[in-house]
Amino acid sequence: MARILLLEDDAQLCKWVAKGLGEKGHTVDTFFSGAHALTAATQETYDLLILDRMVPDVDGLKLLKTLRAMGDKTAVLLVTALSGADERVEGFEAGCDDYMVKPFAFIELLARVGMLLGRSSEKASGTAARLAAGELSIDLLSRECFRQGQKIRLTSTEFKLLEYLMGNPKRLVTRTMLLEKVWGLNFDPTTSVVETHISRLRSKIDNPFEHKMIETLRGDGYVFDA
Amino acid sequence: MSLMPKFLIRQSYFRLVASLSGVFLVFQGLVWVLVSSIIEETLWEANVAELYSLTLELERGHLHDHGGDVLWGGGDNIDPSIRRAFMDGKREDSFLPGFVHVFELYEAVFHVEDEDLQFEDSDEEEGSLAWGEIFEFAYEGESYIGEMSSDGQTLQYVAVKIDHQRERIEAVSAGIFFTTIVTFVSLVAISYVIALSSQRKVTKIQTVLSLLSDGDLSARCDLPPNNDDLSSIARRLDDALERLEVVTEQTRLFGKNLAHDLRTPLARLRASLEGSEKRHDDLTAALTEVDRIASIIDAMMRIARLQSEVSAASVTPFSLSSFAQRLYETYEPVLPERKTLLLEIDGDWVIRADEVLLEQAIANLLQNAIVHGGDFITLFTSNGVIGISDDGPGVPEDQLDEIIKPSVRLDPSRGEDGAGLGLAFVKAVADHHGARLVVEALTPRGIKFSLQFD
Repeated sequence: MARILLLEDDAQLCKWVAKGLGEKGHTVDTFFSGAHALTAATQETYDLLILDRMVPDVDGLKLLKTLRAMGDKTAVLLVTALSGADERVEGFEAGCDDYMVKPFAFIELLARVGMLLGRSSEKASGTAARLAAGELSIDLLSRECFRQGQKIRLTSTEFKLLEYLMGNPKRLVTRTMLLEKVWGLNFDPTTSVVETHISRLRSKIDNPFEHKMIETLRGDGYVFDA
Repeated sequence: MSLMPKFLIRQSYFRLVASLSGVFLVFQGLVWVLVSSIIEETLWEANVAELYSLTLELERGHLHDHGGDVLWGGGDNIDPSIRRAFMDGKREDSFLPGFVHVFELYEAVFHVEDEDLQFEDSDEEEGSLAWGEIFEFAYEGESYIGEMSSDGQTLQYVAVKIDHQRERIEAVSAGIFFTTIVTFVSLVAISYVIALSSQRKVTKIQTVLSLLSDGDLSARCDLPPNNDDLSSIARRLDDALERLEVVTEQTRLFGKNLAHDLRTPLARLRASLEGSEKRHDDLTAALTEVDRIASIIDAMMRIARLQSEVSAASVTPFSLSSFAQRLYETYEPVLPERKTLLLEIDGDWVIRADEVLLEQAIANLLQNAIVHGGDFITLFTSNGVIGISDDGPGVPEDQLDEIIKPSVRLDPSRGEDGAGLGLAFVKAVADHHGARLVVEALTPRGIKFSLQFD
């Protein structure tokens, strides 16, 4: 599947993540030290780097900055115990593609890894004014939605939600990811915002039709499949 | 220019200079009035005394030669121009009242034709006339004081020039005036310089204190070493800030490391729970607890960060009404079936705030209302105010202020998901923005939380 570099100084966690990713068919090279990881990252070709921010010697953030300064554009997922908004901003400014806070559910890691690997293989897709998936299509300019030729009225939130789901078809999208990408929230509003809006969206684009496009995955997230 | 005095008047040292200078001016003014009146009095007495001695000489018939300074004449020889000068002159009361019937003398001099001027003496007086009224008048451009007298038959006058004496008064007055001005100007200049240097220190201390109250612990007075009291206050303030900054930084780092050190074992714990082959309900419950602990650490870290942070970098102006509208659209569908969210927008107001933090705060208030509040929840905005109210059981009046205190976080009844941290977070967001979190009880029932921005 994909070749992944994992930098994590906690041996147990490292082992667990590597095992989990390995079970999904990925090849994982694990490193406990930033300096070793940096050498490997510059010599080998990886599809994705998963870096812990705080490791001995060269930390993940410094490693990321060095790689970006060298022109390396490999997708990077920062995994960290630092959850502050400014630390998050710092991570993105350094050039990471996604940011995850410990502790995390493994499914969350899988979803993000899937998203990043998918994104790097679809880089050339560009921006379209229209997204279509099977009998469902949305117009990004007029903000209109059609299924089987019927126009469906969506609120702006529902539209953004659908746009994000359609942009990542057949991939697991977790609740946290939706909160981040659709609502721009990197905190848990403790209310069932995502669930409610998904359910409203479903009632409009799925319930009246036979084929259901939005699937719930055991409470872990959602998969859109036309 | 017009701002300058207002700006100065607010500064205590300038006030001091201004009031001291004012007091000095008034005092010098009084001295000037007093001194010049004493001199004038003394000179007047001297003039009058001279005039009397002249009169005496005249009456005795042998007026010494006083040069051009003395005018005199009598009987038929009264020069009409002298008489006119007397007439235009100012009648001064002599401080030694004489025996002359002043009115009659006056009549005689000014209304009777110049020939055969007779004066009817009073019965009481014999021989030479005593002192009469003194006139101050101008004659040929010079000032005189003069006196009319009569030997019983003819009227005679004598007057003495007083110009040189007036010059002396004026010289003394000018001297006092000049020294007053010089002293005043130098007093103001010297105290201004002293006040300015003190005022600069006070202003510097003020700036540092106001930065401090905004949470900037790195501000310092940095005054040049000096022995005065203000410099010493500034130095002590700097020292205290230095220590405070170190302690705060240590606490912040400690918190950060603590959070980090707690999260990594939690991640490990979560991993081993998740990795377990048999996922039954107990494991799921344990996972939920791990997530709850992580979210409590998150919330505490957010509050700690807000409290220690200098003003937020991500503060932007935005419209409260569209912000509220957006929140309404996001959260209205979330409410349980039996509850209703109402949106009340009173005018469109723009505030400056960190939008994400504010949303988080309102989401906490909303969550609070959903869990503890009544069936009707209102999201309202008005002039610089946004908040949530509900018609639930509310909180007893005397506990309103208590519920936003951090200690209440420890209240075991706060329920699920660290909700007790919710209000402490809202308070921290308010403080962070310099806004106020106001909690009010509603009648007949309910509670209202408002964030009031300036």
